[in-house]
Amino acid sequence: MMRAALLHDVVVRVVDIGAGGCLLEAESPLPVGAIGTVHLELDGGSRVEWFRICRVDSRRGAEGVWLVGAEFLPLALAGHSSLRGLVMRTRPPAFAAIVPRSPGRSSGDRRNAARLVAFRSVAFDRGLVESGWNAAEND
Amino acid sequence: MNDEYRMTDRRRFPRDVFPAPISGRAEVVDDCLVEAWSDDHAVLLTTHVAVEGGRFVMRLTSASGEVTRHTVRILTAEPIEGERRSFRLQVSVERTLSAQRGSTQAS
Repeated sequence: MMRAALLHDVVVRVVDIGAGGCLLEAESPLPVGAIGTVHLELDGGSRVEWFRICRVDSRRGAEGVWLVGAEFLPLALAGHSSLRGLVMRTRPPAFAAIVPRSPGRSSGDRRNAARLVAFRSVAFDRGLVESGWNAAEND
Repeated sequence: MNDEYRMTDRRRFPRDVFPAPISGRAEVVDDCLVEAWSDDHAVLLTTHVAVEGGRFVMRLTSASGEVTRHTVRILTAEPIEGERRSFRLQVSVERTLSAQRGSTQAS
């Protein structure tokens, strides 16, 4: 038997993003462990990144929107078309290293997850008005 | 809680939050085996949860490294007995999109 790959498109919206992954809104649940690529037009260019689904917030399914946590897979160099590369260029690792490590969750649930505690203006034009990082907050 | 929806990871990096979500698309990749293929009809074995009438792209890599892509439409989808989350799909192969050599891209 021949081996093949099946590719299917899912319309998503990216809620937040970091060097390690992003939070997606999808109209259908993506199974945990699913592998694929996310494609975005951002900062004046097409960006793509391989991901693995880490978690799905099933509670939101009743509202027709599923919150899906995706981890980026560093399968290739973070070049110019890389979404991960874009994030790393705008938030260099040296800067990220001084940010308190966050054990927060990407569920978007403000009650039981991370809380935005600090904001900074961004000097680049990539659609972000403000950004922040998450501090540990385990209610 | 369903195992599929259990959290399996924690954040390791800070996140930037968009003031409004950015539209995009995700292309999910599933492995499959081509059990049979004749003309415009094929039988696939996969873990992809499919519904009849659904469309997707099938990518094949030949022994010589040539990659071909075909759009296919699902005619029937049946679970395979004894296999967890495995399905036998009867599909109609609608057209060939492209052929290239040695691609590592998903699209």
